[in-house]
Amino acid sequence: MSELHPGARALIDAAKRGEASLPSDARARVHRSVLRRAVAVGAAVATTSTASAVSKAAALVATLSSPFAIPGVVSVVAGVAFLVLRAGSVPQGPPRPDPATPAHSIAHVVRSAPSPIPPTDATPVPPAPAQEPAPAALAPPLSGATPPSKPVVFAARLPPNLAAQSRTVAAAAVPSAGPAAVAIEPPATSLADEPLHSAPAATTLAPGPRTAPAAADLAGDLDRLRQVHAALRGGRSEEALSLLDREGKGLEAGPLAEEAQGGRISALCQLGRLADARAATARFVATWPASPLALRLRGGCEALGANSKPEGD
Amino acid sequence: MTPIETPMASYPLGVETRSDAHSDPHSDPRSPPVIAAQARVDAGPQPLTFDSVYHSYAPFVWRNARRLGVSHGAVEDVMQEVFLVVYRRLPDFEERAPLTPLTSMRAWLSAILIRVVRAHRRQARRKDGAGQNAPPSPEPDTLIDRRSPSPLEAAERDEAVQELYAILSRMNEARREVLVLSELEELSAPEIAQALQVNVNTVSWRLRTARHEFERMVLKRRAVEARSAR
Repeated sequence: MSELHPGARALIDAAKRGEASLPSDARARVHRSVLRRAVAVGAAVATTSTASAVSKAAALVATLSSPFAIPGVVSVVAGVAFLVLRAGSVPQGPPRPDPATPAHSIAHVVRSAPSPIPPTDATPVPPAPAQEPAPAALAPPLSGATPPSKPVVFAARLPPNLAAQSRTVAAAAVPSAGPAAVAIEPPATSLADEPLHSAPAATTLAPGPRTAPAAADLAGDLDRLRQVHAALRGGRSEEALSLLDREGKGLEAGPLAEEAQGGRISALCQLGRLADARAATARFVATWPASPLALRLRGGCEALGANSKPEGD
Repeated sequence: MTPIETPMASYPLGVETRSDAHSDPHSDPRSPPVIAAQARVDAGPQPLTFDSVYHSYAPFVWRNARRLGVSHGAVEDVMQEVFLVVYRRLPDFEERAPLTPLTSMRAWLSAILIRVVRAHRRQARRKDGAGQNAPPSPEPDTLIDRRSPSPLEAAERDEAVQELYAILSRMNEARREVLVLSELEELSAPEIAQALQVNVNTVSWRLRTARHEFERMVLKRRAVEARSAR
């Protein structure tokens, strides 16, 4: 096919052989960041979503195996899973027929923009202002013909033996989860051609009373984390550290604890407080030994600095 | 990070016409077989999940971002932008895929990647221009190269890779894009046309000039090498 000069072709072929492939830690890191930012957009508009469910779901899914086997990633997927942004009825994503994997899945339906459709429940949901400017601004300038929001469906594939477990745990987690709708996919059927919106309604649970503050917590945590990272990127390590000190209790005890701790270690490194950084790293690695961030932290401040910026933004 | 403007409405949509998971020499052998199976959509329109797309095509986006001139320190940011768009637009892609059967997932991703990379470059230029009088800020990205190379960077020191990237970086942007998609990724002319939102004739013409430019630069380097070896 190529009409390239043989010398030029040889260079391309040699370079293709020598090119580095995507390192697995970067793969996991970017995946996690994308989901986190997607969640951030969701959290900003989730006035009635359930964050107690988010943390529970994170704990739940973290205990289950996933194709990626990284607890951090799984937690985020779980967070996404349970952020359902409209009270009451939530459409279920169509089952994902996958002949290669007769596994069950947890289908996660997330709205990424305020929905123009009024909630079918009695609870009216005013669209919240976007609290996350960066991801919100990334929202595509949709053309007139395009609906303003579409559910994004995540399917966390689980081996059959774990699927049963997930049903149980998910069922246990949900009652306190307010209006979260957890749709456990049935085994694959032939619904492939159904458009997302025409899928049958999900298992819908009655809205619970304690949902909005929890969602606000997550949104707030994300916001604080973003501020910390912005400070770190701007070289304002003192500010990052004082933010973490001020917000530390909430942030470092919440679902974003890993990232908050990582930010703290980065700040300590930037400030040259190497002994403190080492101590914090030891605690981090002990707490989250399988974290992708732990791999980087193990290399010490130098590795951390050499590896671009902190996580999660 | 400042958001990058990415016009969405014009992204071409279509179905995958070949399986990257199998034809791709860079695909990570550690990606789970489930994902590879999900990515195999050439049998017909099958539902895609964000995760399956991510894990099948992350290496594709990564290496092409590098080839298109994104620095090692910024490539993860660019990937994030690309996959945020994918996250949002995947339902559209799936819905409209049967209507535009000529496009592939790779063409669609290339379209997104190219727009993100162009925006990234514009932003970097603006930042460079604005930052001339300001004291240098300790951006983590700028710290990277002063330290010992990561294994990845060491691998990229592969001579041929270095040479290829050096030549690509000196090429005209539009010609570099078409050369990368054609000669390195072997996308078809219609796919490239969709990715670049130009017509096929423009692709053919641009590709001819791109090959010519690339060959000339390779030959020039060879001549310089030969002279210095004497």
